[in-house]
Amino acid sequence: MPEPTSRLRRQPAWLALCLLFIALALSIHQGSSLLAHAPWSDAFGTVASDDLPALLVRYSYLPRLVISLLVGAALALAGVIFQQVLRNPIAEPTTLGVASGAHLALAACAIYAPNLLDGGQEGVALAGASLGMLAVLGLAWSRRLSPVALILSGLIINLYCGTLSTLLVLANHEVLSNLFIWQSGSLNQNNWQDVYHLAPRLAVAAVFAVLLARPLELLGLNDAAAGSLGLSPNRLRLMALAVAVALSASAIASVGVIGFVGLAAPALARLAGARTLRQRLIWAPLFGALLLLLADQVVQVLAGLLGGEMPTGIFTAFLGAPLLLVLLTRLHETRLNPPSQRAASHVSPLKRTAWILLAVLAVSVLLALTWGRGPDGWYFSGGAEFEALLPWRAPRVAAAFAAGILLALAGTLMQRMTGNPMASPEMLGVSSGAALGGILALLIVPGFNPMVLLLAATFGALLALLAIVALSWRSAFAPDRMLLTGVALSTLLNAFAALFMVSGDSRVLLMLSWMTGSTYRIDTAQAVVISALAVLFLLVTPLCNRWLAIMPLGAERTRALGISLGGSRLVLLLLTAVMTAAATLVVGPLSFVGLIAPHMARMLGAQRPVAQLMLSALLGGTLLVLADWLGRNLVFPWQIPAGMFATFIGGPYFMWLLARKR
Amino acid sequence: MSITRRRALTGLALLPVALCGSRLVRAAGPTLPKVDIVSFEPALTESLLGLGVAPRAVVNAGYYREFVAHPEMPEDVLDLGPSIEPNLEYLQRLAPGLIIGTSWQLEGTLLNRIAPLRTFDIYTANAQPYRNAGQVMLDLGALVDRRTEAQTLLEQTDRLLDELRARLAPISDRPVYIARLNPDGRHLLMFGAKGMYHAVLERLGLRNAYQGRTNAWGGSPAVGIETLLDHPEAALLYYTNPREAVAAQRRLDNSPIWRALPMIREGRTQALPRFYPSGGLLTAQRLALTITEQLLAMEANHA
Repeated sequence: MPEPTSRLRRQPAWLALCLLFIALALSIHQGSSLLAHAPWSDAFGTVASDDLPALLVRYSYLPRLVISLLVGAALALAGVIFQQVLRNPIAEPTTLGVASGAHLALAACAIYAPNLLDGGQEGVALAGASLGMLAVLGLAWSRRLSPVALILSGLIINLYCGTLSTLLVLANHEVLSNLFIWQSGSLNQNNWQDVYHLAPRLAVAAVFAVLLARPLELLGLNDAAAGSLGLSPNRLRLMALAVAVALSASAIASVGVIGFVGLAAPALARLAGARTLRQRLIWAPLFGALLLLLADQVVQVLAGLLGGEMPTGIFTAFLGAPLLLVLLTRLHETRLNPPSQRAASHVSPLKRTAWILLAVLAVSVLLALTWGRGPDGWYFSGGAEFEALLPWRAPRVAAAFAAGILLALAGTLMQRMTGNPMASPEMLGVSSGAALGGILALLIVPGFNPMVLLLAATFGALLALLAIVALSWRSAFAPDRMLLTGVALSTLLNAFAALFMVSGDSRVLLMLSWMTGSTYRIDTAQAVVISALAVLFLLVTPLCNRWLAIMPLGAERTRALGISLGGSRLVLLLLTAVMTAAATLVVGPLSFVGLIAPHMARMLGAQRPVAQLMLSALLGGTLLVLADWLGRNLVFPWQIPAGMFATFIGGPYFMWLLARKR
Repeated sequence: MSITRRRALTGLALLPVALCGSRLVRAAGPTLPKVDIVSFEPALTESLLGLGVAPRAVVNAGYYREFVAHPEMPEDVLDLGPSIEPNLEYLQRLAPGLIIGTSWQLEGTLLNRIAPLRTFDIYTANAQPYRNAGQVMLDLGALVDRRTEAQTLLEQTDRLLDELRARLAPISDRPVYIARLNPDGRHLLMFGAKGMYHAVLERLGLRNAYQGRTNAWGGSPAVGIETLLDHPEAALLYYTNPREAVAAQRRLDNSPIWRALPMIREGRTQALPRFYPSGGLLTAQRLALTITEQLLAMEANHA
């Protein structure tokens, strides 16, 4: 059918022309102001070594122009390949763990093996990127790489790598400041090296993409068709993924993390009418190149207006997060898991379990309050010494306990509500929203005022909640969709955190310590408030008993039993949001307690909602008390934030949960 | 969850901290009389040591030893852990006579339960860190009963800087950039207004070429190397973090813009040793000496 094809082909061309026109207009404006009325020919041909305007155009402005085109094209090409192979419209380097893997590898090398970086970042970045990607694939493997499983795996790997990198930064801040710039994706150039480096790699990848186009297209139909070409489908996928990972690693090794071009360009190509894979392989890199060029020119124009440059990668992340949200709503709704109703294999008498847990809690609290580490090793303190230490220890123990309770309750609500054993408050994005509010407050308000942080974080959590409600309203708060908004919000959070780190602000360490969930700055007043909240919600959540009992049975049954699905979900959502926001302020946006505690409660035999709520609250509180205590003492006189400590336990549990075969 | 996995991860988590700690093991340092004071701030620690007394404990001793380094800190000064989260229980057990630090470190905290607090601020809203550093030195001298030493140090530094100013007078019309190079070969961190580098340049009768935005300690956000073209006639003093020096230099050598920068082309550039940019009076003294030496050496080469 030549007619429709040619019509389709014309549409992307128009859009591309428009983009090209705007980008070119901005570029020429920019270049002319650099040349200061000298003719453009000055910048080409031989440039005198003291003609600075011409040199700037030749070695800064032009390579920057070209590198933005190359990086844009490379990321878009990688995006198309990822999306085709994984059959997932939101696959791209930043959502698949590729970028965060590379980041962690570079941070670790900068500290432990700086010599490896003398020859350039590419090898290290490629190794990290491959590991990150493999981890994501491994996690989602048992779910046959379903789109939602992949994105959730990517989220987890991103969070985990991010936490590890932060830990490295906290202990080695001086050494890693260079990485802050890299992380924020600055396209600034001062020679043609990066261009010479990236161009051949892009060309090779493009050749591979052309060769793989037809088999990959068949693969999009079914595996048997691809098999008929004499290639095993899995080997083909692996080859294509290797090309995409290598290409993205080269691109981000040379300029840093640029998010969302790999997402936006293929989406734009599809919107503009590029239906087949081969059309997208042509148009998406073209759009990617133009998009990044445009974004980079806008950044430079803005820099002129604002008197300071925002790194291009952060700018694209700002633009991209809303786009990601829109694309998420198109993701096929696939249940991650059927509602989990398996009865525990052996149900121990709940009462006895509860007593044992209470005893464990009592011992933990006692330990946390009396046993600590000093310069001469561990010591008990009683009497006067105990009284003297209590004002330091008690608020932290109480706050950790309360935060654990709140997270566990929120997690139980979410898991019951969504019928999804992998739901946890962190995934909802509310904790990211709260942290985002806190960072914005730091960027705007000078100083480090806990009250301002509290207000801003609550506001951020509420905004995140509103976004979730708005986006999930049409689907009556369909479980998976709600989980995925967390992906977009956590990406935005990372962008803001990167902006803060690159700003050279002296409070960067305070922010990191807060974001990693340190209970260090909890005072008595804060501890009292959060404990009161914990008690309040311990009393309130059991009132939702009936909803929580019925909802895991599925939407149809729930409706059949006369419960308004939208209304009940809205109430549960609000409860979850408030509890998560309060807990986030104490232990940071990531801890996984909200995930593990409800699970452990169920494994211990708490099947009914109220029993699960209470038991998981007990477990969650105990977990965080222990995490806080160990974090305070294990590396004396240094400390590991409680939230981070809990992450190290909870993260692997989550991964195991995600990866295990059902 | 197997115990081994948990252990492995815990080990991983502790690795950077452990490695950081291992750097603390050094040969024995000087022995100085102890004062019953805990210092939260490297600039104050530096000043105390300069007065010939050592605090009982400091926050992040490894950081002082690596980034401030002078005057050398005795081995037996205790370490209270990270600067943003000093170990309070340890502090409580030490029960020091006084805790000193900057206002942002001490104000609004509950540290006054442990010991009396006193704040000394060098980097304040008046943006006069050199003058403030002198005042802080005098105040600390009064505090530890070394008034004469403090007065002597202050006068010595002032006299030295006057002398250096006179030596620099012939080249004082040339503005100076002070920067830290990033290993990416594309970005710099500039030292500008509100910082000690800036104050010392002013005190030496020189002009800081960087006039852009800075934080409370005078550090700029990362800027591209073409920023140096704002004042092509300026001299450039720069340093790199030692671990990153190879990568940074290699990338800069490959940059036509870097090579074409007037200061590079005409040899108006010198490498600085790394200084702690937010130090006290002694840092100012050493900064002034090094800056003068390098600028004069540069001028000699140039001529």
